[in-house]
Amino acid sequence: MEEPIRRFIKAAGPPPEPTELEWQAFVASARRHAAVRRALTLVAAAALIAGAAVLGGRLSATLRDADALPPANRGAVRIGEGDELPGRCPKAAPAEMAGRLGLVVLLRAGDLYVVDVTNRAERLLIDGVDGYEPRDPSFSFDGRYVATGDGIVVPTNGGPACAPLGADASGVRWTQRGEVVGLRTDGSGLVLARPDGEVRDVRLRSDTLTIGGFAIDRLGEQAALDVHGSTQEPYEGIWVASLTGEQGPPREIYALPRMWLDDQRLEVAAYYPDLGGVLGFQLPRSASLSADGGLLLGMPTVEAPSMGLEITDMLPYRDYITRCGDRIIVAAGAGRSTTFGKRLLALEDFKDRPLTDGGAYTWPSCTAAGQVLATVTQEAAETRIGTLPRALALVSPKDGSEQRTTAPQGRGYEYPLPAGVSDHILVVERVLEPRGPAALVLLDGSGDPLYRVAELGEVGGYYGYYGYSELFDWYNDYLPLRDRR
Amino acid sequence: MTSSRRDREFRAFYFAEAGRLKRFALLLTGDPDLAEDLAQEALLRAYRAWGRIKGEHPGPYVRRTLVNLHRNSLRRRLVERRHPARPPEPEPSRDRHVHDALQVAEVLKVLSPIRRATVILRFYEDLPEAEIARLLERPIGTVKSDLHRALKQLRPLVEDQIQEAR
Repeated sequence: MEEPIRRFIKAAGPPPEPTELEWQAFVASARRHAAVRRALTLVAAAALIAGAAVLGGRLSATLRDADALPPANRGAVRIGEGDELPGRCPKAAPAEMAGRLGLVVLLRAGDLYVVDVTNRAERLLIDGVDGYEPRDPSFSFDGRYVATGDGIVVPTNGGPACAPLGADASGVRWTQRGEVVGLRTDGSGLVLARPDGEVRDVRLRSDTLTIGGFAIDRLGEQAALDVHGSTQEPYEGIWVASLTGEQGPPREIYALPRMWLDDQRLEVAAYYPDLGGVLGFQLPRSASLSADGGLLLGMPTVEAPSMGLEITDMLPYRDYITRCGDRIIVAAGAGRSTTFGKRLLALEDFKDRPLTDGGAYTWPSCTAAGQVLATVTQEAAETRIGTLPRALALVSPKDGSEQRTTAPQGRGYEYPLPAGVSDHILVVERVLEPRGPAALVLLDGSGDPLYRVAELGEVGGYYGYYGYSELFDWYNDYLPLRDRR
Repeated sequence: MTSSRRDREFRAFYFAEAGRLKRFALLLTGDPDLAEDLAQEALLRAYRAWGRIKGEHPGPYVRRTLVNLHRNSLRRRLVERRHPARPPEPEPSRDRHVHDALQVAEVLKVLSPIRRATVILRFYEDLPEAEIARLLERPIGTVKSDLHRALKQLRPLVEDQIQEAR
């Protein structure tokens, strides 16, 4: 049978021959990428020098000095693709910040910056070189360190970087106990370490099963895992594991029925041990996912009848799920558009009830006062992807009553993050027509803009969905009270 | 390494591989725009990492990058880096085989992405199974079994196509 299949596939025709024109366009594009990265770094450095000169009057640096690394950036580390980093970090001092609004860590042009939200002072933290681009940054709960999604840890005040999990971890997150936890890239287990401590393992101890993803609880003591079989032995399951080693080896809490194994898969979404369950996605292995969504399932972690939660039209984005006290809020709805057709649901004891009457809501989060904050589309239909005037909606989780905050003319608000205790909101502001650069803007409790905090880098997107959660993180004094992403 | 030296070295690689990579991406995705984006991104990454990869095997590197980009795009829907205000009109392709390739890609969509990549590498790129296993970082037994199952899945569809062509 091989030969007919080979002939059929070869019918795709020979590959096109590249032309000189295409090569020149490619080189121009590659150089433009490199130039933009260099220019943005210089502009940031120049702005920092100029700001420091104006404010303090002590620096006489001019823009010509931008080639030199400004004093505040001297702690920046250059990291290249494949660089070997030490396994242990030196102990880090408390993060320096001008006020309780704290710090933002963000990506821009392949580099990682720390920005003081109070005075907007920027500092380069990781200078990505030779193909390395830091991604998915997050603060430790005490704010002393920043970790990237691939497990590089660097003190927030700057200094030498380390890789406490080795070079073999992904999806890295912090626990409240001060450890980074990541997934071994071969899927054999989770790996944990303090920045200055020994590495620990949580292994599946199986030759045939691998872990595809994980979610940790808010205390960072337990993890839920999506576990997958091999081609020879298909299996899809959700397991839970103790990260403290006190509750025995990982154990299965749910397995996908055999009849769905050929064309469905599981992904863990969130873990709430104190509420008694795990949320997971059951997703088709096909392109219909983007149009129709998949199932959001509730799975009990204790022996109990099924939770009965089965939302049938959920896109598999973790930032469509948030916790608000004892409720879980989700943005559900089919269709690939980010906001259009998405409604907010409140899950109480894993039973869902509508929070909004239809609508176009997404990216829910929970304020310090227990209100649900979400991005909302003003128009009824999302016909112009990415250019809609999106606004913020503050929704009461009790009765669904709502207040809206609109962005200035020609701009839109997306992906709001409320502060841990104060009523400030950090929100992404976009220029709409044409869809332009994004910036982080600080709003006060009534939704009035206070000031622009920082420019944001480019972010991957899909039909109006942007992976902002992988672009920046906000640390303030009250972070431990906030549910982490 | 200076830019001009890198450009000289990368040029030869580009002319040898870019077309094949774009066809590979088209068969993998079945979407000309997405294929173009993924191939371009994979080539840009290879260009940036050229100093490190040129002494090894840049061909497998760039294919592995493309497969990973495609898997990530399916998993996280984060491939498109920008969204124009309105979708641009598709540019006419100078590649006269695009239509044929899309027909093949349509049939290959019955396979899971990783199995699809395995089949394309085996039957379009004519790579040996061991090479595919190295490239996709999967055990050779898994590659063999993927091919076996893929053939089983494709057989009735290909037979239908052949019947229709008659």
